[in-house]
Amino acid sequence: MNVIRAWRRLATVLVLMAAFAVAAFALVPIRADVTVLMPDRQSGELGLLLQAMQEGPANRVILIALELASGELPLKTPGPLSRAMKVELRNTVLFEQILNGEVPLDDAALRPFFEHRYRLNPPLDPAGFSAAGLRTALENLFERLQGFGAPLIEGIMGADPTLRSFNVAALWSPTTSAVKRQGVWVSGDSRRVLLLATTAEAGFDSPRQHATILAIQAAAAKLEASFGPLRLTYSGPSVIAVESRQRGESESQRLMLLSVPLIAGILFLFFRRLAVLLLASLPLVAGFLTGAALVAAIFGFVHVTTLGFGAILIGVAVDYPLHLLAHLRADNPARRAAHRIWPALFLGAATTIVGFLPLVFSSFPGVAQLGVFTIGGLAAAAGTARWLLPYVIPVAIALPRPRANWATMGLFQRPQRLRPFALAFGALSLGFLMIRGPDLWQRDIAALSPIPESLQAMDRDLRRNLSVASPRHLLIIAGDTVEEVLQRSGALIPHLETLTANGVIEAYELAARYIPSMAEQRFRLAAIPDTGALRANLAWAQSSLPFTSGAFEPFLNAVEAARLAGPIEPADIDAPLLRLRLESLLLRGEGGYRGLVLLRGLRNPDELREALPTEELAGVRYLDIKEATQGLMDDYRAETLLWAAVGGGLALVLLLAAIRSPKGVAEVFLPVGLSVPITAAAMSLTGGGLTIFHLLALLMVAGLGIDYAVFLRRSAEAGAEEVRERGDDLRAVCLCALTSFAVFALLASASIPLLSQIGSTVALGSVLSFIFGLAFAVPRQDRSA
Amino acid sequence: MRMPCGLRIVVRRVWVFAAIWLALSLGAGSAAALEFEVLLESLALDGRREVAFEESRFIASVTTPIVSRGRFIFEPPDRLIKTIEYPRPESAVLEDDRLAILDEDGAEVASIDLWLQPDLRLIFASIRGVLKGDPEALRSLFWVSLKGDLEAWSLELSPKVGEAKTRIQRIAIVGHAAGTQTFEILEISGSRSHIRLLHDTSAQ
Repeated sequence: MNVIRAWRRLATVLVLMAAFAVAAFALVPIRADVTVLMPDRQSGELGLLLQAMQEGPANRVILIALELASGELPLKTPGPLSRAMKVELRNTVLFEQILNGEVPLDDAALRPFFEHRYRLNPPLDPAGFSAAGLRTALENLFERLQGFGAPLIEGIMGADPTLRSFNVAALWSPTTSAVKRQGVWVSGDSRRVLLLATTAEAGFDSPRQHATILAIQAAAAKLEASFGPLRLTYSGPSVIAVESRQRGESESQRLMLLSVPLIAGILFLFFRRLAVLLLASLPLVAGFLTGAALVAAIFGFVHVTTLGFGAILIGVAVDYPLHLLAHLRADNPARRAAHRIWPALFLGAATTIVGFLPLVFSSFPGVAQLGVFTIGGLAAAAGTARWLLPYVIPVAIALPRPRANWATMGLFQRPQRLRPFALAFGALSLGFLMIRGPDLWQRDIAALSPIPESLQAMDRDLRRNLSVASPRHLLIIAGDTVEEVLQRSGALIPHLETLTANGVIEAYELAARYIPSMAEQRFRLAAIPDTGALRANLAWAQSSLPFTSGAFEPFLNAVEAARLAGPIEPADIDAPLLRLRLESLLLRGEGGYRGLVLLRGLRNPDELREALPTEELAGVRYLDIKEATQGLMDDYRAETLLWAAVGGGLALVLLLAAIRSPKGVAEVFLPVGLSVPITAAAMSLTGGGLTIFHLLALLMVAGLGIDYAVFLRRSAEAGAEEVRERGDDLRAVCLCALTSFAVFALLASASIPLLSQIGSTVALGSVLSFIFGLAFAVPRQDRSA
Repeated sequence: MRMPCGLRIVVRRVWVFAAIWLALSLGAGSAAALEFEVLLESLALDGRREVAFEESRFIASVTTPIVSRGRFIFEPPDRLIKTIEYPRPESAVLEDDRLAILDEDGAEVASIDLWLQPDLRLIFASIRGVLKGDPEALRSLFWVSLKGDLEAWSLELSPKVGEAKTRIQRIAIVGHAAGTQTFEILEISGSRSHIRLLHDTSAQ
């Protein structure tokens, strides 16, 4: 009867949790944008920029290279191959623009430039409207009418006899110095054709970018019918994002597939019941859901990283049900066992929670979320283990008893011999960590990248071949209005020209390159002669040329119309390609606008900083995105470290209050206080620097260590008459340490730095915590020895 | 053994004349009119062809003809090169439906997708069709009407696509057995071009 009731309860609880999970994840918005991870004080400027970089065109560009699988050198038909690829890519309608180096000459391509030709750059030279200037222009026009451009020119010559539309259009053509053969871009060795495709979707819209990559692969596969086997390579920020996500997912899945049977095997070895696996997972699931719900309730959303790192931090909650299960005996049913171990379980959980409490006050929403998640999760997991689990454990599960009492095993005799070694290693490690100081940390974010070096190298190679601007170095021009930004940009341009001439940069890109400020436009339009004078100049200019009188009447009207209509703003431009280019270079932020200056081929950032008189140039500033994000990571780490230290102090106070004996506190605190620095030192020595992931893993080690130490001390404190209870405590902690070690050792084998760093740290830390816990919690009856 | 090129042409022309003679002698009613396919067959040449041209273009806003001179080179199966030698050296290569404009060094400076420039597409198709002697290519784009005989003929091509798609009204080609041909391209706007293919330099 009871058995069936217990199983029914378990089923009910599982269904309720599943329903809660579905509801929670349907209701709670999960965000993945970078700005959430910014500290509150910085979310304005850098957040805006990073967001812009993430969604901006620089990150929507995919660099594509195609070569024959045979490696033919040089490629015989780069033109047809490149064009066929362009057509295939265009047919997917996933791209806003596909460039392969061709310069198309057609009405549609010229139209937007024709429309705004007297207001867009390059500057209007008033001399071009003089009689002599017009004469030169008309002579040039007549000559061009005899060439291949004639059909296009005949269409616009009446309104644009100086062919200014072409000059305007030329400014907008892609700024790259890539090598061309048969009219298309090829790599320096002519082995590969190169294309630049700008996706229509935001750069980090991962699922869609994945679809885009599949489309690129399909397009290349189609070409093989006519060109033979091809080798396709592609890169770009979005490709890297998709690739890293895929790697992360496949790696996680692989580890999951391996770790489930591993844990099941260990649990089966101890308990000989598979139901234990289900029971052991309940507190963890409850903790995860509660943590997520609490974060959502407080912050209104949950960040993806909170879920990921949070799941690791509450990993210690797996130990709670194991303690309970290890104590089940025929004379010690679930409810009684739960009641009896609760003081120790409570002390361990409460100490860990208090340790994480300060994270809640972090100025980084990401860290604060992590704190809330962990606290809520651990509390819920401990509560589940105490009250819910005994309620659903079938009474008759009657777990088999171990054949031997673990308390009497030789393995666990006289562990205090290890104390001097532990103390010596701990002291050495602490000294090492202090000496290294800030050098302990890995500052290069690239080292955290899950992307293998080969892919990063390919990205650099493609970028170099296509001379695409790296999105790392920027100048920012701030202004209250677009007009102010454009005016300040106008003042900056001569300096940029000097920098280009001196070779500090190869080229630059900013909105004002295309459209001058309205003030400048007004100034230029005012310099054009009025219609009467212009008509007279034109009459003289065409007097000896074979153009009919009145042929250029549309020109006179167009100039007059431009003058009357006055200047335009970027927002007045409708042509999508032009508009997008300008929008990506002019960002709207809090309290004004920011103009971006992208720099290509920057030789040395210091040279740029020195050469740029920023004090004369109002609102202009240099920004190294990488430096800025690294600074951000440093702050994130420093703040986490600070609050974790405060948390450690609070945890110590709590232990003092609970145990009330310095010796007892030392027994619980020293194992953790030693295993954490020793693990940190070991990781720093083997891994080339600690990262934020090591730090999070160390927090988890601290949680695990406290849990082990509390139960090992409980075991040690038990009287001689409670030898079975002692054995169960020991068995439980062994089981906990073994499962943690097994799972995280498996994680350490991952090829992704993030996972392997967390895995190796926790694997080592859990073993050390266990050994030191044993070493410092010496059974009462041995103490006299 | 390959026949010399000139001899092959003679042999083929003999066959064409024989066919016409046979048709006439059999007393077929329409045999007097020159068949389009027969004309094109007579124009068809194996191998590369190179002809000099002189183009005069008449447009409304310019009072004098706009003259340019150069050569057309046809390379089988489908490549047509137009080289302008006067007034400013420039050349363009037509392959498939793409016209690549080259500078003096032969590097591509720009390209025109002929699907976006239907007028140019029609003009180049007519020149390529005649140089290649490809009746199907011409029939796919134009309504054709032919007058005269192999000694002197005139072929009129009217675009099959409507006025909305092209400014070309018709292309009239006048040809002589001696090898000279004149293309007269009339546009709806009244502008026109006159392209004279001066002499066939490939047979020499």
